[in-house]
This record gives sequence, C-alpha cells and structure tokens, in this order.
Amino acid sequence: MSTLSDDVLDILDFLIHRHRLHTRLPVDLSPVLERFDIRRHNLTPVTMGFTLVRPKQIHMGINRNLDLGWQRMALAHEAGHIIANQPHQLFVCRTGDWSKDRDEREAQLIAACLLVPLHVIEDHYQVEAAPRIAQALKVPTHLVDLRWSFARVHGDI
Amino acid sequence: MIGPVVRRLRQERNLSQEELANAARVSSGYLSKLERGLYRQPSGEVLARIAHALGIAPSDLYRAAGMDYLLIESDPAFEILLKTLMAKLEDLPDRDRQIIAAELRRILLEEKEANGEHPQR
Repeated sequence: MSTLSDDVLDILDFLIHRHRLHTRLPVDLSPVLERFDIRRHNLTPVTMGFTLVRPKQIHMGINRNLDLGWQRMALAHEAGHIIANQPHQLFVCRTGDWSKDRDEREAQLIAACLLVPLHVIEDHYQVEAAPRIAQALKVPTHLVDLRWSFARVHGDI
Repeated sequence: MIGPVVRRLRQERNLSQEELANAARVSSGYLSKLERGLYRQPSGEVLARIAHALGIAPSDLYRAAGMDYLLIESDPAFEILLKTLMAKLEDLPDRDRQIIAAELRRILLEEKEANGEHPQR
C-alpha cells in the first residue's frame, strides 16, 4: 500500500470541496472531467484507457467495453495522473497492473479517493459489505477495498 | 487514390485540366496522368501546389485521398514525437495498439492544423 503526497491530498481535498463531489452519491465527476477531451474506444479487456497530455488540451481514451463501474474508475484513474501532475506525456493504463508501477498506484489511489467518499467508508465499510457499497457507488468492489485500506494506512479510520 | 479526388475537386470548381495545371505549375500531361491514376505516389510538394490551386489545404487533399501519412512524412519533428509516443504502446495487444496509435495520430494532426502548421504551407 502506497500513500499520496501532502500536495496531492491537498489538491484532492480542494477538488472534493470545491465541486462538492461527495455530497451526492454516486459521485459525479463531471466538474473535474469537463475540461478533458474524452472519447471511448473499442479496446480489448487488457487496456483500461489512456491519456495524452498536450499543451492546450488533455485527451483521454476509455475502453468502452468495460462495464459502467469500470469506466467510471478508468476516468477517475486517468484524471488521477493529471491531478498528481505526473511528468509524462502519455499514460497507457491496463486493467490489472496498478500495483507494479508507482504512477499507476498513485492514480488508482486518487481514483479511490475521488469515487469512494471517506464518510461512506467510515459509516458502512465491512469486507462483506464492500460489494453492496460498490454497487451503490457504481464502482468496482476492489476500489472500495482500496479506499478502506488507504484510509487505514493514512490514519483516517 | 489521389487521381479521382483531384479530378472531382477540379470539376466541382469548373476548372479545365490546363487551368489547374497552370495554377499548380505542373504540365497538363502530368495532371492528366495523375487524374487517371497513372501516378499513384505523387510527391507531397506537387500535391501541395495542386491543393493550393484548388483552394483547399494540402491536409484536406491528403485526407480526401487517404494519404494522411504525407503530413507526417514531411515533418520530421512530428514523426519523432509520434514515434516516441508509439514506443509506449509496444506491449499492448495489436488491436489496442492500432486503435490508440490512430487516436494519437488524429489528435496530433488536428492540433497541427489548428496551429496552422501545414508542412507545405
């Protein structure tokens, strides 16, 4: 389990409060995503999405074959690369290797923090309840588990 | 194929072969052969002159003729950038690599056009 830098946590806190992201569930990330050029592509199950950072526009591509929860997570994950200001021009993200790469882990943690509000974890999380929480939040179950793990490591719960 | 596209665009503008050839600084014989498909790979420079004579951007002519690659081949910096980005796609399944590569190419070409950076202009 990695953690996030104070700078990234500050930005997340700002975004969540500025756009009141966690006041209504499931979380609507439109205010965060609206400045990005987002398209959906007929990708294989291997690839979750990609982000190309250009001087005047940030372009994202999402695998349209993923289910809704995964697509929401993919968008939050791609946004995570931008929020963390990672120094790359192109991010190509797979569906199953977040733990192998520091940048991918960071983006995935940011996705969890954006889409799974801390108060939901505090109030409702139990291992057996994770699938139900995930369904309500329209995210994959493992993202709920990740949010809980991060909250534990970070000392939030 | 480029020939029928040039012929269609010329006829839409009510230009004779000779008029277009003069404006594009090519011989009417060359233009005639081009339109008939006898020159399948004309140079980017000649096509750019023809495009300007037709009153369209070279990139529009390339795209109409399915020759977008000319934009890239004529700009080394663009080609280097694209190759650098493509290197990140090497481990992907073929389908994903092709889709993402096409998307990267589209984005960069549109960006280039928006910036008014047509290589032949």
